[in-house]
Amino acid sequence: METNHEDLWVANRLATIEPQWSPNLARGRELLDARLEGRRSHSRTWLAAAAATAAVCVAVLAFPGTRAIAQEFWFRLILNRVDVVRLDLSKLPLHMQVTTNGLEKSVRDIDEAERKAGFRPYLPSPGALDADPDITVTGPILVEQTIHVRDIESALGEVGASDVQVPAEWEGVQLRSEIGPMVAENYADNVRIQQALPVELSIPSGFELEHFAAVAFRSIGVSSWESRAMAQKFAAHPSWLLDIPPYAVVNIQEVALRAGPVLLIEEFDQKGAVKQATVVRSTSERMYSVSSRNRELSIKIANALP
Amino acid sequence: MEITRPEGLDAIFRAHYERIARVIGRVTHDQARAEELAVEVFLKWWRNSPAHGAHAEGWLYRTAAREALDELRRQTRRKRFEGLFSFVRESPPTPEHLYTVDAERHRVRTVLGALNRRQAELLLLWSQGLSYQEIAAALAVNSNYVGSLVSRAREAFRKEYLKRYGNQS
Repeated sequence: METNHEDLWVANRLATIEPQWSPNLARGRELLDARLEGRRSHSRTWLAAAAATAAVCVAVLAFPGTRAIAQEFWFRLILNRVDVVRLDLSKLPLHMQVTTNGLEKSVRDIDEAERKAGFRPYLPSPGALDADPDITVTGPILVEQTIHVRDIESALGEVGASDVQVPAEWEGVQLRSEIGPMVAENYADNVRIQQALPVELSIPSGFELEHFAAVAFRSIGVSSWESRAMAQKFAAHPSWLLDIPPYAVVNIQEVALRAGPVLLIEEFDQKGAVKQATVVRSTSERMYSVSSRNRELSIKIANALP
Repeated sequence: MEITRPEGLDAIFRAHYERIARVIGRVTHDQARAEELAVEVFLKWWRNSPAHGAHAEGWLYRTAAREALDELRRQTRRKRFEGLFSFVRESPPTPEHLYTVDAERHRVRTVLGALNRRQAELLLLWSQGLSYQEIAAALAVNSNYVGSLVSRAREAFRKEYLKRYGNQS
């Protein structure tokens, strides 16, 4: 292959970085399965999974600005509002790293849950549900997403958004969010209540987040005008974005509870019957969801929470 | 719990995982990190339906090379940042630090990181043993030109290396 001394010299240099190990296919499969399992848990523990995929996008939307990037300084923001978007935010071309302190841990009672989670979980008022729940505590989860200009350009190219320019100074910028700890109360008949403190977001000061949000939405196929409108809307009213992909068959509506308005999300099976109904509520001190097999029960339980 | 991998993903993972991990392993410091990034490559492929089909293999190699070079640049940035604080504390060198500063590998990786991306990608794939046809497919260039492109990339590498380190071989 080499035709002269110089080429051989380069080949020898490059040969020094040949890995001295053999890839471990079994470990690769485990990693792949873990990542796939993480994606599939979306439907079961969607509060956690959606937070992991969506929360950083909220960070993107949170601070409009035009100042230059100063990555050494970070803003911290507490989000206590939930909005649903019919997008698949897992397609955002960002390099994501998720760190947790372990899997779900079972706890004996609400007092132990409070000690582990750092907040006292709500329980439905007596009589709303028959038995005591099994309680687990998860997290916190740290999500770090890094911007790589080439990845965004490549994604923009794939959706035909060739008119969008990606500033070179975005390269390497990191967006971080901290979610949880989360407490899950599991009752009979697939009733589940999940609670967490509001999501905390950290972003580089001065980063042009509204601009970046518009570009990020374009990169997953949202039209130009819609991307701008969404970016402006969320920059004005920062919120936690709960992403529900457009192909998911769901009904989303706002419902009035005693404590205030909530989002009700109904998922359907292939025959059109309700598979799961979830109520989502967010206040200044916590986010929670209530899931069951039908909307009436989910609303009843949600109404039995403070 | 048993995980069912999507059929297409499982097949391509079995066929290419080891080579993809080795491409990335050329520029990362440790096997575990290379394997994590290799898995990311396959997940990206799975999510990106236009990459499926006849050009899947080329797409995987191109993405692997980019992941590897991105990782190299991240490492470089981190070292630069850490360097800003070196006057504050003098920590004993870590085994990783000793490993990187002492090795020829460090010089080679630094030079790769300094080249333009296309040339670095060419050299990574060429040194991995890919044929000119495979490189052409991966980088979406005419296979007739791959030989001269690789030749120019080698020359760029040699000049950059000598500029930085002289002839230390």
